[in-house]
Amino acid sequence: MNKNYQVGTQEVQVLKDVSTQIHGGDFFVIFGPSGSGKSTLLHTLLGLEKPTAGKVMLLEKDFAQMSQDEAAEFRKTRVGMVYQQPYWIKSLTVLENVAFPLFLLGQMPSEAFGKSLEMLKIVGMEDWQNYSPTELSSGQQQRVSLARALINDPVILVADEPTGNLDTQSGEELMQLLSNLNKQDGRTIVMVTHDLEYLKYATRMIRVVDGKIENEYNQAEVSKLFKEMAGKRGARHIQELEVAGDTKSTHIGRGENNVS
Amino acid sequence: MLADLLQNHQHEAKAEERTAGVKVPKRSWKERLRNWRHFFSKETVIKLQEEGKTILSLLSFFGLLLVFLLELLWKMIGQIKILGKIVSSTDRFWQTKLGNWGERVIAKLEGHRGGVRRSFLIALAFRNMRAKRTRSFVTVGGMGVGIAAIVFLVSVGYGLQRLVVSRVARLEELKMADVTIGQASNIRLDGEAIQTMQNIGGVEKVMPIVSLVGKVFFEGGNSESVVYGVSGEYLEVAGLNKIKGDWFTTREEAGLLPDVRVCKRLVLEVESAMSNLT
Repeated sequence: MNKNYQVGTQEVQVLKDVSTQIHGGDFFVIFGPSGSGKSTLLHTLLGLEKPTAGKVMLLEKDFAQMSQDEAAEFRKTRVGMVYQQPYWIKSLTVLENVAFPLFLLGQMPSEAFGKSLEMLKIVGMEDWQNYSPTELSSGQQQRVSLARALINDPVILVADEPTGNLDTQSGEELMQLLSNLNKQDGRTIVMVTHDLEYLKYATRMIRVVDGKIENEYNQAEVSKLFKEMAGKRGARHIQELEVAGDTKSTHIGRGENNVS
Repeated sequence: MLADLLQNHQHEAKAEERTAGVKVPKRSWKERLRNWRHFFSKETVIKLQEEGKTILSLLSFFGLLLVFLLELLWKMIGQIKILGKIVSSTDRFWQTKLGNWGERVIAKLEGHRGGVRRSFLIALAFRNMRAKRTRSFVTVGGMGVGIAAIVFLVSVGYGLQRLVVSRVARLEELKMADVTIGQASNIRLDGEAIQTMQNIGGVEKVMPIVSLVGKVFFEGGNSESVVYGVSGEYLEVAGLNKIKGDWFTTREEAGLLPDVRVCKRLVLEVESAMSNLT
């Protein structure tokens, strides 16, 4: 699959011959430096962007064959999304925001609020149900955002840098939640991150550099990956190049095997 | 209007009957009432808009607004202490029996068949407006001021137009038609001719006018002018306004209506004479 953008008179090739498969039950992580095309790849996977060449099959459906409305309906019922910014409806409470996808599906309030409360309990946010989401901390907001993404029981959960705005502890907590969803419920998760710290939760991962899939790894190969990168670029530059400003992962640069 | 909708459905059924050649049984009242219920549904509105029945589709929206108000009322009822359980939050209310019953009523009224409920969208819009009160007030106020300004300017425009029309031309004049004999010498506009014209459909009144070229002498001065001989009714019908003096009536033995130029001159001369005296 290729994806090009027209910028003025110039055509910029963002994704170049990208080809990969995501299996059911995977915790699939797309990582790579900033501006490498990770988010574009994710958006193309979800049908939010059309590929310039090639095709995307998601749950045996080809987005190229669908109209925009059909694709939106498909995402509404089969896909849950968590973004770096939670995009709240500020006039609604936490509970109502979580119930919102169910209202879009036409469910009545009693059913929608009942499910939402259950979901808030799963992410440990039931005590905050009557607050406005903007009154919560970033970590709490992302938990609620996760609850909202899971409310329609999606087949695939997509997370685009969900820990981008979080401190280390909140990030870890959120990743633990995602990991539990993957391990205990067998839910397929596709996550984009530039934080190598979280690769330890992934079952499969791809490294995207300059719009190309540089390599594909499974969990057993992660330690090898860190060693490779450390040897290739040197300990001091790994963080700058990979994490793009993240100061949490200095140990990766030293080539330590930090993967559990 | 709702009857129109039902009638429309009946027409469609009849059309189908004609094309298929099969007699469609007359619809029962139960079926008709079901259509009334679906009047609030999205499908009905789309159908009405396609058929160009904008007013009916708008009415459907107001029906939904009523559904939303019903929902609000329902919640308020749920919070009355006398009814037993005090419902502190929206979600708890919907879990109660009262809430469940209300839900069923709303679902039936809306004729909901999947997808987002339109009454929910209205409720969300109200919530957003309530959350940002100042912004909503400024927006609604701005719209009000804007519409008021447009109405004011249009009113001024129409007022001015009316004023100008009333000064320059009266509607009565447009209703009048002059009948002359022209070059024909063998036609006479006498009493019989007037009667004949009077009998023409749509003719309200026929008034004879005699016009002559005359000479008017006034305080040593004289002027040539067209002098009309008319009946007293003519002054009223033609919308002529007097500047000075009294109207003559038909009963009076004689009356002269001088030309406008003569009138103006007479008035000017009288005014100058009066000013000389003082």
